[in-house]
Amino acid sequence: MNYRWLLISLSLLVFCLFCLSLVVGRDPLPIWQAANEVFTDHRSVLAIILTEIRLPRALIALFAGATLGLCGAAMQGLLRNPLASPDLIGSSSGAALCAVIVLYFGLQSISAQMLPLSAMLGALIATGLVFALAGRDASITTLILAGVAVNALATSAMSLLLNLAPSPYAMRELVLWTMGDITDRSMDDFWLMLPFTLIGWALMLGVGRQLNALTLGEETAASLGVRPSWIRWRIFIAIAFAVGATVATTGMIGFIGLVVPHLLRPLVNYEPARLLPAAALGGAAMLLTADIGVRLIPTESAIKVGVLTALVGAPFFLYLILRSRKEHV
Amino acid sequence: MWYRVCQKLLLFSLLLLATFSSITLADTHQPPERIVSINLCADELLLLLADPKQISALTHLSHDEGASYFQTKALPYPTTTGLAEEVLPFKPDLVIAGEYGGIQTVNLLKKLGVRVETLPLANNMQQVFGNIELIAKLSGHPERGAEIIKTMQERLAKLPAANPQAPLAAVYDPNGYTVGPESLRGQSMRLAGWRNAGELAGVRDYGSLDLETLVRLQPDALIDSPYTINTYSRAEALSKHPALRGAQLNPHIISVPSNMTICDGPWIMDTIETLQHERLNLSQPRTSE
Repeated sequence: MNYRWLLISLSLLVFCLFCLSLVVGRDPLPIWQAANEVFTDHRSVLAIILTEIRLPRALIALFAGATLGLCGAAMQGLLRNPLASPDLIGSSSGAALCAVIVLYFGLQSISAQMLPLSAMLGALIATGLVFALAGRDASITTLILAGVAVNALATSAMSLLLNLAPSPYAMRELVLWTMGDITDRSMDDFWLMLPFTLIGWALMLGVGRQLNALTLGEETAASLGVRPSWIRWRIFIAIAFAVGATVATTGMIGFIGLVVPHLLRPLVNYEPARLLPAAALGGAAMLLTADIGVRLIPTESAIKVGVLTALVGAPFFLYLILRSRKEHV
Repeated sequence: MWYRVCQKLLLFSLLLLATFSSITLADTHQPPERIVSINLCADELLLLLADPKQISALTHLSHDEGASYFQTKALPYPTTTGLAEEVLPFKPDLVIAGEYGGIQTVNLLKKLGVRVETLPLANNMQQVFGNIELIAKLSGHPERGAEIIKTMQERLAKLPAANPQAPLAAVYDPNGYTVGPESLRGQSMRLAGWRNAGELAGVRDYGSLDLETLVRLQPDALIDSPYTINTYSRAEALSKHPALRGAQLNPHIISVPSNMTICDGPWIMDTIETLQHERLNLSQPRTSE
């Protein structure tokens, strides 16, 4: 498929899903009336629901999804491992751990911003720890191992806190937070997430060409003028920023970073540089779809969006394993 | 519209002034007319204390038999699942939330200028009274709260003093969840004249009781509070464990309906009296042995 048409159709898809996300809810919103009231009587209930509840939700889904897709594609390109994703190097769980610490000690009562800020800090610490563990010129295997170790550490610390939770109610709150959810976020949450996300994205600019070179192997890439350790640092820091900001706002939403690059890779002729923007758009489309999905599923207590993506993503993961086994035979 | 906002701001600052200068202007302050509750326990206390026309919406759990003490009373009211976009169309002048859960929703509602009050979790009788007082005051009927509290205190005073020879009981919820003396259910056990096995096992407020401890402590009774009858639960099956039967441990099972234990309110007195009644039934034949 023509690359340009792919990007255009993905953008159109994201745009349609974004608009749909503003309309769909527990009770559907009369969108024209609401949009009209935004301009005429901006304190009316419909206008407030549209601009202060649905809009931040759709925006956060858009940016968080794009971040997850982009970071997944970058990780898979960098590590040349189809099973890599931001969760792997511990960024997500580091962020989640710090957020759970804040919830556990009730620190969010100091300031509403405590939660996102500490989660970003957690992502940076976890990523930094992986670096420290793996060393400056680590091989891919060492890096993955360090990531798995940090991940395990963060998850077990999180389980410890859940285990020690002062009451069943507090535990429920902690568990629900880790499931990944974007209901009832405000524009403040979005504005807080945006700069860090953009820093992460900006760091990703221009890495595509070097990722293309890396597909030829590290030695060949080095001979082409690519510095593998430099590009590794850059992508990791980018992921810490963008994924940290995302996890802080939404909790842990898994599998988007894994699944989306896979779905799109054949459409961009397996070229990492072209995959990056396509995966960002694809990730946004997927998270928006999932978030519309959870609103339409008529359950008594709303399904968390992270649960839905994991439910769809896990079977896909199994399929990947089966397919890679077939290819090796 | 702006006029009304200003009016509300003015009222609010007057109220602040009143509290700071301890002049009770609160009587002249209009009670809220469209209260939306996004917490089950707030639902129950509102149904108890507020005028029906003051309540705009309750939680969907208030219609659930297993959870809601005033389930039939709650049926006429619309419900929400507690999302901001469901709450706003009621144009609430007061939203009551719980202490846990929904931080995001509470932050968002506050940001949108909605008055949100939090109902804390009660861990002892004093806090139950506090919660009743709080909702009574918020809904503008402090006298109703005071009267209910007075009746409760009278009933409390009638309970016999604690007896060191009292039989031993443990709260035993699914997965061995139990309570200690610093929880409301722990305190109501003590008030009903039971000794708490959870306390002997070292549980302060909430904790769990394993089978070994249970066999060692030999409680005379287990207090459970099944949410749904006839559903399979690994923990409920645990009470049929060979170790319990082998130890000749055949504790008397006292079932308190879950809709009386999930939230606190004046019905805690019924629970305490039931527990006391069960204790008397159990200790009568024992003492005559």
